Amino acid sequence: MNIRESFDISIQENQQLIVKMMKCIQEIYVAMFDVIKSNDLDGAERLINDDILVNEMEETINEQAYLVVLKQCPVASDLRKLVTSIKVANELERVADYAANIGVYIQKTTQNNESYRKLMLNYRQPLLDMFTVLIEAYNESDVKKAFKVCALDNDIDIIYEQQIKQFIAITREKTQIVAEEASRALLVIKQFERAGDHLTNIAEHIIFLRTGKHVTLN
Amino acid sequence: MKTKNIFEIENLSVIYGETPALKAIDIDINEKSITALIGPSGCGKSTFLRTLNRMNDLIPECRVMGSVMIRGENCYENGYDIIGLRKKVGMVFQKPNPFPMTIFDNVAYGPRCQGVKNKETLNEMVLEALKQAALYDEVKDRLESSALSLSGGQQQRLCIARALAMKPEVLLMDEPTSALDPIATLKIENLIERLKKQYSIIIVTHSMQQAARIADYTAFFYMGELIEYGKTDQLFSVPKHKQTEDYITGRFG
Repeated sequence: MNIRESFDISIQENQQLIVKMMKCIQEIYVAMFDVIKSNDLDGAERLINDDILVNEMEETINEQAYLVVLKQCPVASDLRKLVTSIKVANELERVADYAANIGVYIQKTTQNNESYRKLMLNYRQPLLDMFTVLIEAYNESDVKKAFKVCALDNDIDIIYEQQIKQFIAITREKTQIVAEEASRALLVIKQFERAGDHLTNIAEHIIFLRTGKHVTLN
Repeated sequence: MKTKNIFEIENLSVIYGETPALKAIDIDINEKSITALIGPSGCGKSTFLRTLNRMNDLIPECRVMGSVMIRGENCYENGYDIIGLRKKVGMVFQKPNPFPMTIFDNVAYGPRCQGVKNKETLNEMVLEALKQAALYDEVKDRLESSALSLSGGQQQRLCIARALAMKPEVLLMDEPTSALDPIATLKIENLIERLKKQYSIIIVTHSMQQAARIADYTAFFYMGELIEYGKTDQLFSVPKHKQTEDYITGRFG
């Protein structure tokens, strides 16, 4: 007989809220790359507004986890699950911020941003793959999959390093592009690089959840 | 810094008639720290506690095998001074059990039995024990009142003072707060944490949170076996054994 039924239900709810938040942000990232591809101003506006929804999700997870800690005095893996959920929600919130920032970028640089936008799309596949593997890793508390997330982040870091050089080349060629646009575009790819780092942090949290050991993958 | 052991226990088994209560326990207990014993009812933790001052001797059917070394001497050796052992190893029980006499006489009882007659010496010993047990301020004006007039929490601290008056090295506590209200419980816990500077304390508790709050080391017993023993912080955050995890998270059986 399970003598902690309501506690188990609360923990499941907590895990489901996290997965829901991960999936929601993955969808936002799909939409984000569509916006980048088509230079879609309305879509950019939606990206900015979606951030409010994500912030609310983080609040919900925090409140739920605090209350379960308060009422159930969890220990061992239960405590790790709840503390980790608060940290993961925080990382996810940051990742979603970047999508909103990119919405602002699209709105502010409607012209002359094409050569940059093409390069930005290179981040689409590795970032979306990171989400997919991360959701699986979290659902299954799978350490191997958490390490796979980290490997995908390495791909992003390589693209990022290469693109900085490419960006400088483009800026040199196209002298009509003002310095502001070039800098803005550079800041955008920095966001992708950071998103990868935060998703890797989540992978680290998953490893802690499973093993109780802190690892540094970034 | 390496801590010293107050107890070194090897291959300790206890049998009540035909029923094994403890099976081949090996454990070292650190001095001047708090060690909590946890586990479901009937797991052997109270039996274990009672082997440490040979309280099990009082149970006719009980047989003890193995060795319980205290400060390097096996207290189960033939001819071991049991009175001396019980002086060294004091005990506090679940239900406060003051003697039906005055507060002063309760604490003076042990020293008097030891032959302390000098009034001044006795007075000093009683006051020091009451102070150590954080009870002095509450009872200083009524030392001649009956101990039974005290509240439950005060009675329990009086029992601790009574044990301390014997100047023991070890305090055994068998669920010392399970009959007390939450505030009285916290007072006792606070007291126990202060006492560990001078004494080695071993406490049986059914409150996992209490073990997590105050114990430096925790031992988990199940069905007469010592399943896991280690630093409390580690045992409650990342237990090594699944049975421990199941028990402390409340998913047992």
